[in-house]
Amino acid sequence: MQNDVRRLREEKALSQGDLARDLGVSRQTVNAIETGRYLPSLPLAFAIGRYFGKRVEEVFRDDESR
Amino acid sequence: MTTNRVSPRRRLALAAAVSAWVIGGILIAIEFSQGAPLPSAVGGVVILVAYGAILLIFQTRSETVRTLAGDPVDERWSRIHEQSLVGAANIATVAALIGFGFCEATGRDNWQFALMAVVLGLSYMAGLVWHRGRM
Repeated sequence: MQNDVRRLREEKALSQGDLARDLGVSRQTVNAIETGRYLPSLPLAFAIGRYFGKRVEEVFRDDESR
Repeated sequence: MTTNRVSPRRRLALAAAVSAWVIGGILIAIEFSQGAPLPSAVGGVVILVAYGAILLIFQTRSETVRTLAGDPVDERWSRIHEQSLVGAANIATVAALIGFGFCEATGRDNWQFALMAVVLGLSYMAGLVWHRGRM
Protein backbone atom coordinates (compact mmCIF):
# COMPACT_ATOMS: atom_id res chain seq x y z
CA MET A 1 0.00 0.00 0.00
CA GLN A 2 1.38 3.39 -1.00
CA ASN A 3 0.10 6.86 -0.19
CA ASP A 4 0.54 10.51 -1.12
CA VAL A 5 0.14 11.91 2.37
CA ARG A 6 3.64 13.39 2.48
CA ARG A 7 3.28 15.05 -0.93
CA LEU A 8 -0.18 16.45 -0.11
CA ARG A 9 1.03 17.71 3.26
CA GLU A 10 4.07 19.40 1.73
CA GLU A 11 1.89 21.00 -0.96
CA LYS A 12 -0.08 22.64 1.83
CA ALA A 13 3.18 23.64 3.56
CA LEU A 14 2.16 21.80 6.70
CA SER A 15 4.46 20.18 9.20
CA GLN A 16 3.79 16.65 10.42
CA GLY A 17 2.87 18.21 13.76
CA ASP A 18 0.30 20.50 12.12
CA LEU A 19 -1.34 17.62 10.29
CA ALA A 20 -1.22 15.43 13.41
CA ARG A 21 -2.94 18.11 15.48
CA ASP A 22 -5.67 18.62 12.88
CA LEU A 23 -6.30 14.88 12.56
CA GLY A 24 -6.15 14.25 16.31
CA VAL A 25 -3.25 11.80 16.18
CA SER A 26 0.38 11.94 17.22
CA ARG A 27 3.16 13.32 15.01
CA GLN A 28 4.80 9.89 15.05
CA THR A 29 1.61 8.37 13.66
CA VAL A 30 1.62 10.81 10.73
CA ASN A 31 5.27 9.92 10.12
CA ALA A 32 4.47 6.20 10.30
CA ILE A 33 1.65 6.61 7.77
CA GLU A 34 3.81 8.64 5.39
CA THR A 35 6.61 6.08 5.47
CA GLY A 36 4.18 3.16 5.06
CA ARG A 37 5.02 1.60 8.43
CA TYR A 38 1.43 2.00 9.61
CA LEU A 39 -1.79 1.49 7.67
CA PRO A 40 -4.49 3.76 9.10
CA SER A 41 -7.97 2.53 9.93
CA LEU A 42 -10.76 3.30 7.45
CA PRO A 43 -12.13 6.19 9.55
CA LEU A 44 -8.67 7.79 9.73
CA ALA A 45 -8.04 7.16 6.02
CA PHE A 46 -11.34 8.87 5.19
CA ALA A 47 -10.46 11.74 7.53
CA ILE A 48 -7.12 12.18 5.75
CA GLY A 49 -8.86 12.15 2.38
CA ARG A 50 -11.44 14.71 3.52
CA TYR A 51 -8.70 16.88 4.99
CA PHE A 52 -6.96 17.16 1.61
CA GLY A 53 -10.19 17.31 -0.38
CA LYS A 54 -9.49 13.95 -2.03
CA ARG A 55 -11.14 10.57 -2.17
CA VAL A 56 -9.50 7.80 -0.15
CA GLU A 57 -8.32 5.98 -3.29
CA GLU A 58 -6.67 9.19 -4.49
CA VAL A 59 -4.56 9.27 -1.34
CA PHE A 60 -3.98 5.57 -0.71
CA ARG A 61 -3.16 3.12 -3.50
CA ASP A 62 -3.11 -0.64 -3.38
CA ASP A 63 0.13 -1.90 -4.97
CA GLU A 64 -1.73 -4.69 -6.77
CA SER A 65 -4.22 -2.36 -8.43
CA ARG A 66 -1.56 -0.63 -10.52
CA MET B 1 -17.75 29.21 41.41
CA THR B 2 -14.77 27.35 40.03
CA THR B 3 -14.47 23.61 39.91
CA ASN B 4 -11.19 21.76 40.02
CA ARG B 5 -12.00 18.67 37.98
CA VAL B 6 -9.41 16.03 37.21
CA SER B 7 -9.16 15.33 33.47
CA PRO B 8 -10.08 11.80 32.30
CA ARG B 9 -6.51 11.28 31.12
CA ARG B 10 -5.11 12.32 34.49
CA ARG B 11 -7.68 10.13 36.24
CA LEU B 12 -6.57 7.04 34.28
CA ALA B 13 -2.91 7.62 35.14
CA LEU B 14 -3.89 8.26 38.75
CA ALA B 15 -5.89 5.01 38.85
CA ALA B 16 -2.93 3.05 37.42
CA ALA B 17 -0.53 4.69 39.86
CA VAL B 18 -2.80 4.13 42.86
CA SER B 19 -3.26 0.49 41.80
CA ALA B 20 0.52 0.05 41.75
CA TRP B 21 0.82 1.67 45.16
CA VAL B 22 -2.00 -0.44 46.64
CA ILE B 23 -0.39 -3.63 45.31
CA GLY B 24 2.90 -2.40 46.76
CA GLY B 25 1.21 -1.78 50.11
CA ILE B 26 -0.32 -5.26 50.14
CA LEU B 27 3.06 -6.79 49.25
CA ILE B 28 4.87 -4.98 52.06
CA ALA B 29 2.14 -5.99 54.54
CA ILE B 30 2.50 -9.65 53.51
CA GLU B 31 6.29 -9.47 53.72
CA PHE B 32 6.16 -7.94 57.22
CA SER B 33 3.54 -10.42 58.42
CA GLN B 34 5.92 -13.20 57.40
CA GLY B 35 8.76 -11.59 59.33
CA ALA B 36 10.80 -10.50 56.33
CA PRO B 37 13.66 -8.06 57.03
CA LEU B 38 12.97 -4.41 56.22
CA PRO B 39 15.24 -4.09 53.13
CA SER B 40 13.69 -7.18 51.58
CA ALA B 41 10.13 -5.99 52.25
CA VAL B 42 10.77 -2.47 50.99
CA GLY B 43 12.73 -3.54 47.90
CA GLY B 44 9.78 -4.83 45.90
CA VAL B 45 7.54 -1.98 46.97
CA VAL B 46 10.00 0.66 45.80
CA ILE B 47 9.68 -0.62 42.23
CA LEU B 48 5.89 -0.39 42.27
CA VAL B 49 5.89 3.05 43.91
CA ALA B 50 8.43 4.29 41.35
CA TYR B 51 6.31 2.81 38.53
CA GLY B 52 3.23 4.66 39.77
CA ALA B 53 5.19 7.91 40.14
CA ILE B 54 6.58 7.61 36.59
CA LEU B 55 3.04 7.14 35.23
CA LEU B 56 1.86 10.28 36.97
CA ILE B 57 4.85 12.48 36.19
CA PHE B 58 5.54 11.53 32.59
CA GLN B 59 2.10 10.63 31.19
CA THR B 60 1.69 14.10 29.67
CA ARG B 61 5.17 14.09 28.14
CA SER B 62 5.57 10.58 26.79
CA GLU B 63 3.17 8.67 24.54
CA THR B 64 4.68 5.41 25.73
CA VAL B 65 4.01 6.25 29.39
CA ARG B 66 0.51 7.43 28.52
CA THR B 67 -0.16 4.05 26.90
CA LEU B 68 1.24 2.29 29.97
CA ALA B 69 -1.26 4.29 32.01
CA GLY B 70 -4.07 2.84 29.88
CA ASP B 71 -4.68 5.84 27.64
CA PRO B 72 -3.25 5.29 24.13
CA VAL B 73 -2.85 8.58 22.25
CA ASP B 74 -4.43 7.41 19.00
CA GLU B 75 -5.36 4.33 16.97
CA ARG B 76 -1.73 3.49 16.16
CA TRP B 77 -0.85 3.49 19.84
CA SER B 78 -3.97 1.38 20.54
CA ARG B 79 -2.69 -1.18 18.05
CA ILE B 80 0.78 -1.07 19.60
CA HIS B 81 -0.88 -1.60 22.98
CA GLU B 82 -2.91 -4.58 21.69
CA GLN B 83 0.05 -6.22 19.98
CA SER B 84 2.16 -5.80 23.11
CA LEU B 85 -0.62 -7.42 25.15
CA VAL B 86 -0.77 -10.33 22.69
CA GLY B 87 3.01 -10.79 22.94
CA ALA B 88 2.91 -10.66 26.73
CA ALA B 89 0.05 -13.18 26.85
CA ASN B 90 1.92 -15.56 24.53
CA ILE B 91 5.06 -15.35 26.65
CA ALA B 92 3.05 -15.81 29.86
CA THR B 93 1.39 -18.92 28.36
CA VAL B 94 4.72 -20.43 27.31
CA ALA B 95 6.20 -19.58 30.74
CA ALA B 96 3.24 -21.27 32.47
CA LEU B 97 3.61 -24.40 30.33
CA ILE B 98 7.39 -24.58 30.80
CA GLY B 99 6.99 -23.99 34.54
CA PHE B 100 4.33 -26.69 34.73
CA GLY B 101 6.52 -29.16 32.84
CA PHE B 102 9.61 -28.35 34.89
CA CYS B 103 7.77 -28.80 38.19
CA GLU B 104 6.16 -32.00 36.93
CA ALA B 105 9.56 -33.38 35.90
CA THR B 106 11.25 -32.46 39.19
CA GLY B 107 8.39 -33.58 41.41
CA ARG B 108 7.56 -30.10 42.69
CA ASP B 109 4.17 -28.59 43.40
CA ASN B 110 2.89 -27.21 40.08
CA TRP B 111 -0.71 -26.17 40.73
CA GLN B 112 0.14 -22.44 40.37
CA PHE B 113 1.42 -22.97 36.84
CA ALA B 114 -1.56 -25.17 35.98
CA LEU B 115 -3.95 -22.52 37.31
CA MET B 116 -2.17 -19.80 35.34
CA ALA B 117 -2.36 -21.83 32.11
CA VAL B 118 -6.05 -22.62 32.69
CA VAL B 119 -6.87 -18.94 33.35
CA LEU B 120 -4.98 -17.85 30.22
CA GLY B 121 -6.60 -20.53 28.06
CA LEU B 122 -10.14 -19.98 29.35
CA SER B 123 -9.90 -16.19 29.12
CA TYR B 124 -8.68 -16.52 25.51
CA MET B 125 -11.60 -18.79 24.61
CA ALA B 126 -14.02 -16.45 26.38
CA GLY B 127 -12.52 -13.59 24.38
CA LEU B 128 -13.08 -15.46 21.11
CA VAL B 129 -16.73 -16.10 21.93
CA TRP B 130 -17.27 -12.51 23.16
CA HIS B 131 -15.64 -10.74 20.22
CA ARG B 132 -16.78 -12.97 17.35
CA GLY B 133 -20.32 -11.66 17.67
CA ARG B 134 -19.19 -8.06 17.88
CA MET B 135 -16.84 -7.75 14.93
